[in-house]
Amino acid sequence: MIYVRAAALETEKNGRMVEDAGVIRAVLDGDVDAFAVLVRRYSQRMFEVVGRRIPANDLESVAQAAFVSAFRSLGMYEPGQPFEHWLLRIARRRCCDYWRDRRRRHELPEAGLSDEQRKWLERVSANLRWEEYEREYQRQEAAQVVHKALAELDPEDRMLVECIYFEELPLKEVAVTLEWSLSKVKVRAFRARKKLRQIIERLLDIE
Amino acid sequence: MKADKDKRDRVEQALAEAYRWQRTSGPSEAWHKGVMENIRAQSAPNTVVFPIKARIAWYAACTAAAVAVVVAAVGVLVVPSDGRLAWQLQQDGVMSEWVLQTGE
Repeated sequence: MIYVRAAALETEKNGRMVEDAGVIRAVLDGDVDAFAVLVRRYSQRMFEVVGRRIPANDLESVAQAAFVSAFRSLGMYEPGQPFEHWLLRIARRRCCDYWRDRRRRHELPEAGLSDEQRKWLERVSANLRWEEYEREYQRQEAAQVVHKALAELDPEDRMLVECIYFEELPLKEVAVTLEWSLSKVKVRAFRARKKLRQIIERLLDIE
Repeated sequence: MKADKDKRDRVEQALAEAYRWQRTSGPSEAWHKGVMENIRAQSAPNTVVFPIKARIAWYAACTAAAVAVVVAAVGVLVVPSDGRLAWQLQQDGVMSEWVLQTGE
């Protein structure tokens, strides 16, 4: 049964890949409105990926910028690869650009934690049962602390932590996204994680 | 210390879970319209992208340089040196005729 479902899913994926290729060909042939099919098909996924990285008030503009970038470089898309992967790679790059830009303009969130956020940190650092733990990471303060911790990292380090440790993407995929060698990604990811741990230690007042 | 390391690891894990759990709103109809308006305002997608253009330019430059080297080599081989030219002129008697004509 599982195999049948997996096969059906694979066929669906392949079908969608063929469909995407057809739409892309139409866009490249001059039918710009055909791009709306791709926007509708992948906008939800785009919002999920961008929404985790970018504050809610800038989510729509960054997601839109990612679709515009995808449209402009559509000639670069190789039909053999899934369009979704290619599109989300562009989206992740736009998010990195967003943080780079904000850092350049010194527009980063405040570094200090509020009382609520500090309490949350204390609770999750204690040895909780799974149910309690699950309840904790779903709280509003959880996402706020994540973003405060990530804001202290360089945009590239932030992207590495998000992609490799939080989203668990393959290193190869991250290397393609950042246009870096695999070994560079490994080294930088190791250092980025070390920095994140130092930030956590500072938040917890661990010497 | 082990206890501190455990605390840090638990927070790191909680941050990862919190990151994954974040929920975002879906795109609105107005947003879809806005995207397509922006797309229509763009010029046509680039079909020849920059790396390809750069590669073509690089190959063209290499070809031009190779052609220049071949032309220079052929020139060096075909055109006689000053000494050889003087000897040839002397052999042909052209030089003596020219000296006689100009009176130099």
